[in-house]
Amino acid sequence: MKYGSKKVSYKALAAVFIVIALIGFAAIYTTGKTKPKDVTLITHDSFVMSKTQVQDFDKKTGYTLHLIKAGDAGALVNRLILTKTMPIADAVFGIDNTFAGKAEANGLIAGKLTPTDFGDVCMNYDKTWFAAHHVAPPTSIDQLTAPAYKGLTVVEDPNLSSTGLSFLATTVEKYGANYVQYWKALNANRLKVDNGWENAYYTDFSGSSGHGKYPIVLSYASSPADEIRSNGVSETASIMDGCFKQTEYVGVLKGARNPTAAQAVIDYLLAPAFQQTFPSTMYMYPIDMTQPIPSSWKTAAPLPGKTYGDNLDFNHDEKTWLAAWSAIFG
Amino acid sequence: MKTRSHPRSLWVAPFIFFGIFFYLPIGKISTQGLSGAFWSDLTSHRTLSALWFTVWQATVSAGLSCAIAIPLAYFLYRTTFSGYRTFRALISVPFVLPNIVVAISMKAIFPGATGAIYIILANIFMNYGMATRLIGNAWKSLDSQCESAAALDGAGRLRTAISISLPQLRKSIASAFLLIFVYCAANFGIVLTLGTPRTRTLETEIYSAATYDLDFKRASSLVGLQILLAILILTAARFVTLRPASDTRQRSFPRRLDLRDLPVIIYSIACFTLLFLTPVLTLIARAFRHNFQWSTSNFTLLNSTQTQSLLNISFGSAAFNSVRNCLVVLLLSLAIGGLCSYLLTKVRIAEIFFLLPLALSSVILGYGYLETYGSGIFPLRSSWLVLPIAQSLVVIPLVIRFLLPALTDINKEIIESAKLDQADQFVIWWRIQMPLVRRTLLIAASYAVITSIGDFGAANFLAYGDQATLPVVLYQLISKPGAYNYGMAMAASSILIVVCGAIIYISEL
Repeated sequence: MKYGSKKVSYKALAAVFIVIALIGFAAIYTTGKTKPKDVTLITHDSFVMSKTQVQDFDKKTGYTLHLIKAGDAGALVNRLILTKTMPIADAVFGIDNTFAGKAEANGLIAGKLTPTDFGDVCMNYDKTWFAAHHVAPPTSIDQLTAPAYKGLTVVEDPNLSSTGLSFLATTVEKYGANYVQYWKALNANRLKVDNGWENAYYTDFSGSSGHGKYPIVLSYASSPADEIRSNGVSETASIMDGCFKQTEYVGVLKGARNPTAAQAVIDYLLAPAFQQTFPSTMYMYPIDMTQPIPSSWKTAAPLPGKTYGDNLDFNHDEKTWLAAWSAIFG
Repeated sequence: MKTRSHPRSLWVAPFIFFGIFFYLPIGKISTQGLSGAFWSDLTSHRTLSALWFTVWQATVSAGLSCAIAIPLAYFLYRTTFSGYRTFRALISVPFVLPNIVVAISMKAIFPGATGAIYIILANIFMNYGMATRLIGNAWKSLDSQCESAAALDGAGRLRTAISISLPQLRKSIASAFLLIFVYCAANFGIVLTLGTPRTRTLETEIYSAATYDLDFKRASSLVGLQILLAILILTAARFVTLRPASDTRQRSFPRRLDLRDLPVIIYSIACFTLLFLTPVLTLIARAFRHNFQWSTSNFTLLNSTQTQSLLNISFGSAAFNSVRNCLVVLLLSLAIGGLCSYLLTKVRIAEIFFLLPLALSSVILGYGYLETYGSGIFPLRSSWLVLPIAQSLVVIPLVIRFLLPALTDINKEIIESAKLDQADQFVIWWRIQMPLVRRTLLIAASYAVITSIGDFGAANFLAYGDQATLPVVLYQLISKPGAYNYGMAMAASSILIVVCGAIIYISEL
């Protein structure tokens, strides 16, 4: 039997490899490109934009909007830093004042970040618990180190939770260098530290669905609006002194493939129709204060007068605060 | 007889593929580390404790898996009873499950499961079946004359097993241990899902250094450390490697079960119930629980992006991505893995060059691609092909491990006579070697499918947005609290268990 010359089949094989390699490179090249009418908005996981809203945007602008959720705000910023040489989106929503410094230091944003919404991180307390135990509810975070409130408070780990970090920052701004003393006193007063907001609020807090053991929890100024019972009164209220003002921003990414479309996305998020949806879908106040606020928010979740958070350099100092905190609780 | 040298030119293809898609990115990130504070990074407390945890959890898990497996291996490979094939196939299922599904099975039994104990449990659940199979196959091909002689002299079965069989199985047990050790040291999805801040492995350290702390120098130093560890293990494996039992070798015939096997029967049924039925059935039961009642709502929800649109894409679209990626992986890994195996039967050089990715985790690959192909004229990172290419590099060594022994076992005389008939290398490969290893090829292909579908390490870095794969979606669900997420994760995992089970069942029977 004769099967043909050996040399010919190797040459053929080599040719096949070269062709396959070329096809491979072409495939990678073409699938790596995006269409000119596509625009991508990257957000944190809590962002809500309904299908109807996305379709409405597409119809009004002629673009095709894609959404990417990239974890919490910290994971979002890190993802953007990791991919900044070839951004995976055109616009970003959800960088807040705790991460804005890091985003700017890493040159993520083209131009400026524009605020879209805000909310306050506040301590909440269980009104029923304090009434039943005949203890006066605290009115300032100063009191949480007092013996009367021993073993009553649960907060989130600032290393793992943005809510926890906001509160740590509040103490830094409020107490200056004495913040370390404050946390030592809290620790001595049997403070409970959870790894995330859901655990703290839904499991350990006594005033919500989990009926836990702790009547004071680190949450949001708007949370009491969600604890209104059948009698129309909220089970919980906020401690008004010691709240952190969290502002969220939107921006165009540096190196975006479609910056014009990115700007259209930003305009859409700032327009009244979208601004109105912030309280009901994301539990935040719209930055445009002329927009209507749910009536339950006005009664049960008033905004605190004085807030903290505007005079801190997170990007520069956060590591120091966290190290000091971890030295106490680690 | 004149022996022809093999065609050196053919080596070019796998070398270029591995060079561009493995050694270039790996080289880039590991040299980044060298320029930094390599030693202080490596000797820091954090690194040492991660290294320690990686090694001890893998040692304990692999040790326990092998210990549990020995009686099972006797039961399933040394005796025969009706239904033993099904039994064998079933206990192999957990091994092929995606890492993340194994972790979710633990969460099904213990909803709040976190910590070292659950990581080890998950490792055992995943690997004892594989250990059984490896040890069993060796036991099956053990010469039974010694055992029969001992029995004739009045030794009981336990005593025969301990003094006659086990010493002969030493090498196979050691190699099973090493293989499982490698798998347990690279169980990223399990440690990420079930871990606490204290249970950090090298993989999770690399991941958190790269994505949380953005400390690329440290991430790279850790990559260097993992490469060293991988080379160490592969070298150790070469020392104890025993070639898997081949079909041509003389083998003893298993005998029928009898009453004297009662202890081992009870043991095996207990193992099967505790380590297989309990996790799998609990998971499936949880999949059908929604709002405290029985329903299929969790499965219907999979069609959506979760009630609060937590997910970027629905489970169905993620499944589409996974299957599409898997087909590319299959194509690439069988073509290149096949070629490598063929070439390695000629000259056993540079074997470690192609096997190294097996001992390295896909986490490193994901990170390497992000760093190397993140910009420039070659937009690999923004193409969806980036993930299947990364995955195929982990699969190719697996294909080689399956194919190479099978190819080496082919009777040389057949090939020589074909050569005498002037058949060229290509024809010999296509007409003789390929058909003879078809079954092995099928097994290699099913492992390629399973590895690609289950990959979480590379996917977590490279597949985001509408490119998310099943494990990525599953992790998003299970890492967020909430009953809906939990239910959906259970439903999706039970579907995956059934699919993987079906794949392994078809390829085994």
